[in-house]
Amino acid sequence: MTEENAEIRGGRRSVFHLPGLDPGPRMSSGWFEGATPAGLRFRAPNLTSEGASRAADRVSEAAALAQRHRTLAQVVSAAAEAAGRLVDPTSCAGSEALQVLREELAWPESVARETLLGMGRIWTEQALWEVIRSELPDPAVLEGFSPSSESRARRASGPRLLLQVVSANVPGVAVTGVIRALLCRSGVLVKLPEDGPGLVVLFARLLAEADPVLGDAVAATWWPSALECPLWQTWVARASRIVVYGGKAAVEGVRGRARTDQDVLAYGPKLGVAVVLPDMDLAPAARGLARDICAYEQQGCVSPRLIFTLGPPAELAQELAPALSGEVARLGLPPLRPEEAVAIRSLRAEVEFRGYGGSASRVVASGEDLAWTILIDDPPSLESVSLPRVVRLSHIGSVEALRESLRPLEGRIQVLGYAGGGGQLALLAEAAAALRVSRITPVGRMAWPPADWRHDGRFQLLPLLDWTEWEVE
Amino acid sequence: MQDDADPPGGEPEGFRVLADELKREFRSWMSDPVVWPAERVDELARRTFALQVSGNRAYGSYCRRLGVAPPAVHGWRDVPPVPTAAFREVPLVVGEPRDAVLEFRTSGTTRGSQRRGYHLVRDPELYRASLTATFYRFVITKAAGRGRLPIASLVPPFDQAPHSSLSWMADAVVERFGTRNSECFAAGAGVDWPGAGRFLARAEERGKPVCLFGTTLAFDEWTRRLMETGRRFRLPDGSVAMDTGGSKGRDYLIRDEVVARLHSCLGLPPGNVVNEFGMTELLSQRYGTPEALVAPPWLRTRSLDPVTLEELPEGETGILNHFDLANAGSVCSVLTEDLGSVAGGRVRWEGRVPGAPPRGCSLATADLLRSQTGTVGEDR
Repeated sequence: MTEENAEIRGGRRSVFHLPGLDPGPRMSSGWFEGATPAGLRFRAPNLTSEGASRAADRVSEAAALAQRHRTLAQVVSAAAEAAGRLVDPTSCAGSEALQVLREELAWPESVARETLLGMGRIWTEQALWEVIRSELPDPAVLEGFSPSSESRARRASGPRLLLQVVSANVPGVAVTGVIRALLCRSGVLVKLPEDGPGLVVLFARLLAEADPVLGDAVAATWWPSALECPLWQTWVARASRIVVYGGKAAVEGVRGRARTDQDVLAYGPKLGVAVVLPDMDLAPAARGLARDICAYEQQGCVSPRLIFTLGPPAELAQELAPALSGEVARLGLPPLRPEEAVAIRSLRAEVEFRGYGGSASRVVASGEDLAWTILIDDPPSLESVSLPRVVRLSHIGSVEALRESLRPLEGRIQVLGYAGGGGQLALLAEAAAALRVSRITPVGRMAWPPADWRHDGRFQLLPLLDWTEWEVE
Repeated sequence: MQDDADPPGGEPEGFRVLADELKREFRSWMSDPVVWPAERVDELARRTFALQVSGNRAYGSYCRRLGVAPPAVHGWRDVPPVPTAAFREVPLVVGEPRDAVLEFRTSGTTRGSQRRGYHLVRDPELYRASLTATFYRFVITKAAGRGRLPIASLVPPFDQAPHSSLSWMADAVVERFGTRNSECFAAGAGVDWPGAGRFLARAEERGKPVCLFGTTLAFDEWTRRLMETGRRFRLPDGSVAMDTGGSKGRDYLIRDEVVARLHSCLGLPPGNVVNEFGMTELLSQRYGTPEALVAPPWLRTRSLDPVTLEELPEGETGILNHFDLANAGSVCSVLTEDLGSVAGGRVRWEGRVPGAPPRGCSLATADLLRSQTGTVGEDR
């Protein structure tokens, strides 16, 4: 085996999982080179049309083989085994996963470790069965026709080939997406995210070790999104359904390439919002908020960006400040990118000087290390920014006022965290439902949704499935 | 960070004396461009800082929050810089905002920001003294004769753009250095291109050097039009052009190509096309090429590490911090969002810091909300 052959099987800096694909000029033509925002350079093969097609064939054949020769229980078991090794810091694979996150994202080990542990909770066998049973009371429909009444039977089928495009997300979401596809008995082609391509490749390798047939039902590689290349053309053409995790540009890019008869399921960027209701002990609320803010470096749509309090914002900020300092000290601080530092300073200046102009706006922040920033807005602001450990904090008069204030963000809020509440909780829950929030939860748990969570307000498996009804004569 | 001990309003004592002294210094440098000793700049920095920290309400609060008082300031490098974002939020002026004579507004075009910054100017003559001295030294002296010359301005006059610092500058330049044959060809949003063409033809006929004053963008359009029509001019030797402004988000605009077209269409040697770097937040300008911008001695610039704000060694790229004594009536030290390096007093400007890209799946709502409410923009 040549060195290139070894690369094709996947390596730390060569990020792809293309089972059964032999290298050579017919299959690939050089390399695509990319870099994560933290500066880790990686490469993936520039597949020719034949190479892309051969990879899709292999995945499709493996998925069909798995349909015939693997039970759903075996699929669940293999996926959970691979994921379990991925998140076990005492295993070689777990160490490698930690290293992948540290190198790709420049995260401190503690942040990477906590992220993997958190994700691991929704990848256990028990958790995966919870997902299945919460959506399919009769999981047997994923294995064949199952009687739904005396005269009828039903079967649920996932797409033979599902294309999963991941352009921006927290680490692990791509893995969750692959597992969802496998549970639907689909083969899955993955376009890896440039900002963190390694984890899902590692998972696919572990899956292949747990079950070679299922490992072959996954192909993953990276190519530049803006480039028209055989991979885009072939994989989009071959997929019967496409799932996109990413921003507006990524979603529009995929929709623009998809056939009109192709389903495109998009998970776009969303927002976390928290509210502190009256009669709440602020210290534990602040500690919970700090945990949620610092989870995944605040990159997730489940971390709060906007915080509202029915009490004085300054009092909450007074508690939140030491809580954030404590959390940063516990987790460590990844390096800031220059443009992030400039943007944080600019925001701090905006709010601070607004305060000097007569409003009650003010900044409570760590020092020049820019570790965390609380922007107290008066009047309230909905302008969240995607910067690390930056939150906007505003006073709000009532739950009703909160609902009205958040109306411009209807359908964009992923999770609403709350602290305190008493009699107002039911009102808050109704407000969240009216705003199409997908989940409400106490602060401190915002960043760690349960396995069977309705991601983006949708089922996880049902949108991927097609149903066949068999009416017995 | 709100400080209850805000200073009283009104023109602070000493402002008039300092402003008049600075004007004399600027005018003196115009006729005799000597190098200012570092001690002189630092001494003036200490005096302007003391004035601003006591007389500029918002800046005073900021410095008190930072814990920086006049005794801690030994030179211009010690003066706390104000991020340009602050200009969007609050009047940054020495004394009462109502005493400001001019209000210049930033373009808001580069970031697409909803709010534009504004710079209140309480003594326009300080601006005039600075800009005329530097324009003379860095532009006019390139022209043969060094006296008055016909100026063609492609920038709207100030009465049509009453918040544009560039328009005010254009008017001042024409008034100070232009002959009666000077003309402004910009009106509203457009430019009278046929009229501008006739100006060039007359210049050719008369054989006397002229000066062209406009944005790089306007010169780009002008020369593209000339290329399309095949019309060529040969401006008299000693003619000069001053172009200013960035691409304002237009990726196609490459200044070197504009300079080359000014040469092929108008006969202007590249060395006589002088780039000006100005900001609404600064009342002094740099000149030269974007790779090597020079300044008068009262405008100092350093490059800072974007994360730590520590000063970087010569030649290293960071964010630019300007210190401008012509800003005595507002704030002298301005922290920009421009990338660049400084070597031998020359600034290499490398463009704006790119916006921080979104990370993960967290939604930045600013763009979403802007799309619901609309946005505004206007040039410098």
